Amino acid sequence: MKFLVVDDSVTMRRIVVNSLHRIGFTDCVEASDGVEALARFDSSIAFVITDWNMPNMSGTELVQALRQRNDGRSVPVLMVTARSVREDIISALEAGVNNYIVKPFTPQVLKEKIESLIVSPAA
Amino acid sequence: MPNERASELMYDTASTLRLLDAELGELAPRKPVETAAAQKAVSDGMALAIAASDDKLTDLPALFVRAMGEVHAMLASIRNGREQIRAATTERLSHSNEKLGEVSSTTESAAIDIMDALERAIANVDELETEAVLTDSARGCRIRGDLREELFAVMGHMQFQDITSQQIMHVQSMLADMEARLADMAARFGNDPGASATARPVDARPATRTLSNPSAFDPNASLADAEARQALADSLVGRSPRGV
Repeated sequence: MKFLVVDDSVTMRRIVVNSLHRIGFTDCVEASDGVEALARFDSSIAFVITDWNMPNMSGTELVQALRQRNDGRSVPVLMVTARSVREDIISALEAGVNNYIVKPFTPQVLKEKIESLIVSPAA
Repeated sequence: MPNERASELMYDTASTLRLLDAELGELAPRKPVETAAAQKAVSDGMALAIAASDDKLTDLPALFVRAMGEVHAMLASIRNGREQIRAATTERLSHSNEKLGEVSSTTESAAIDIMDALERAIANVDELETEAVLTDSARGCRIRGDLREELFAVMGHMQFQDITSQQIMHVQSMLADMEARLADMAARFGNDPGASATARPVDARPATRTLSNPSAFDPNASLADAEARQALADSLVGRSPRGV
């Protein structure tokens, strides 16, 4: 299962990728913002984990763009962000995000959210 | 080292705010004087009108000289205030902002080094496990497992760097905005074209992850109450048709 990990923080990308490795997902592609993520996205990507606040293109803009593409319409998207205001979370869900993790997170939470989306495929 | 820099930065920021407060305090007492000067100028103008109506044209030159003197004094006071604001703007605020940028980049660099070390350490534990799998005791196996858990936990704690970096970006953007507004205010006090040159609009500052794009950070980013905030997210996701 191939993951696309999108975050402008190098540290955060490495934390997410290491956490994925730890729970058994070793095939990961990285991108530093929404623009790079869209360029790297193709039908081989089975799961997207994205930050919200990024330069050039935000996480919500990325999700909206993915939902417009045939190959991105149903890919599970997990947002991992520091934003935790109710309106923000609702806004992300309306943009097309399937699940939401608030930073700082634990590997256990990441595992649970990924499993929930794998078991219950995205709409 | 980052703690020392953070302390130095906090000191600089506090000094800047104290200086600004002092500048504003200095400007405040002048107000009644300027108001009095303005009232005097108005009364001189009225006197001028009365004098004219009374055909006492001989008093006009003296009245003009007095009025001009008052206007010059007011302009000098305003220019002085402008210079003080400009000095505070360009020196203190810029310095504080640069220091914050330095703290942010130093912390990021240190975080990357720590991540490198953690990954090497985890690889070492994995290698140790492979080497000792046939000969090692159960205790040795447990210790390696515990060590691996600790290393992953430290890696998880490194998320602080992303959160504090966003908090610093927020403060930097506020300082840059304050700097631009103060410089603009100083420029409005006079016709000196050089005054506006010191004002750096927020978007024209050196391109960093922080200020080149205000949407690159969350002003409310926090390390506190992560569990409660995650619970709120879970609750909202549960009610969403797309969520699970």
